[in-house]
Amino acid sequence: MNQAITARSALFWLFQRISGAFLAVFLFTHVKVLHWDFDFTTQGLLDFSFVLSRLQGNIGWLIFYFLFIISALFHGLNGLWAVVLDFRPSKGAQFIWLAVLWAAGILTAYYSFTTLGSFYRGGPA
Amino acid sequence: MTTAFKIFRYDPDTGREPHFQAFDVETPPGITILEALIWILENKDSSLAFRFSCREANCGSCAMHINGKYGLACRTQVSSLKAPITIRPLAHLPVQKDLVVDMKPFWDNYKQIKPYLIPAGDPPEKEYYQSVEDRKKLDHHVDCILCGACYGSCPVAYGDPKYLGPHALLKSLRFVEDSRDGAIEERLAMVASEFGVFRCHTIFNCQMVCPKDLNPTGAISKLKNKVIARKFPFFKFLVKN
Repeated sequence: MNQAITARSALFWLFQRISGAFLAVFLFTHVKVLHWDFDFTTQGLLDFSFVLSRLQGNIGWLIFYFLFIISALFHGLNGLWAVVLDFRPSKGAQFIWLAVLWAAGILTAYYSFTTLGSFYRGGPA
Repeated sequence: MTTAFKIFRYDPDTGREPHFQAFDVETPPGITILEALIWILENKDSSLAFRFSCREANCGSCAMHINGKYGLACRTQVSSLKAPITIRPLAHLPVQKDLVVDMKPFWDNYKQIKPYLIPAGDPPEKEYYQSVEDRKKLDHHVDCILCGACYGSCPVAYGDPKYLGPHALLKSLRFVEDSRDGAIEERLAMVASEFGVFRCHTIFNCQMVCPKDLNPTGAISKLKNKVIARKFPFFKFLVKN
């Protein structure tokens, strides 16, 4: 035996749990702020302007949603990868699945961050 | 009293498709599944194939699927089951004949974890001393009789034969926790590989079926924690080691 512990599977397993814990906090906060704390009787409908006013220029919410997106993307895509591995794909199929998942992740991240940035700056361009 | 049995039959020499065969078995009080199978062998069908040896849950030869649960035939009372009692071989191992499976994939995975002591340095002059406290750490792992019930019940092993399996991972922890062993780094590297502990979905099937009441799921979790603590000391506070 002359092996070193490989980082990849251990690291992904660890971050799957960390991102899961983060998601629990983020989702709770998101639901609390947008649904429980929002009083329809006095504040009217939960509409675009409310969301915009909350995010606009607020660095705290920007960081919150940035981390939310990162956690959700990693947790979801890594979970899908675990499901893929359970079906014993060939090396070629694994490569294709990895490419698809990475592409989905990058595209979703780009779209999410662009949207988040435009809200922070004051609304979609 | 007679009890109805449905037993999986397959003989590659006859060319017949796998099927179930019904037997009515004389079952006096206290009879085990193994004794019922031996009764069938001696009185009904001498061609029925199954493995057994010690008859007292020590050798692990007679593990099979009994009425929906993996277990040892010698340790399962007929009276504890609802008739008809359906018996199948261990799952996801090639069937050689009737209830006899080819255990080669099971043993191949087991060999990979090097299930023997690899001491560090030169041999001591007198003995490899182990304190009572250090020996106690192994109590939860050494009783494994390698019957294969956990392996048969594991859906991850079903999905991927290269997955080391609960039997090998439990035994790996037995050596990782052995104070006399000097190959912890290499052992953790093996269990952290692509087909190691991180493929486990923590389904607890292995723990539920273990006839020796061991905890392979817990052993796998412990190995995961040990890998994280050793590889990423920064996150050590997150795991129990």
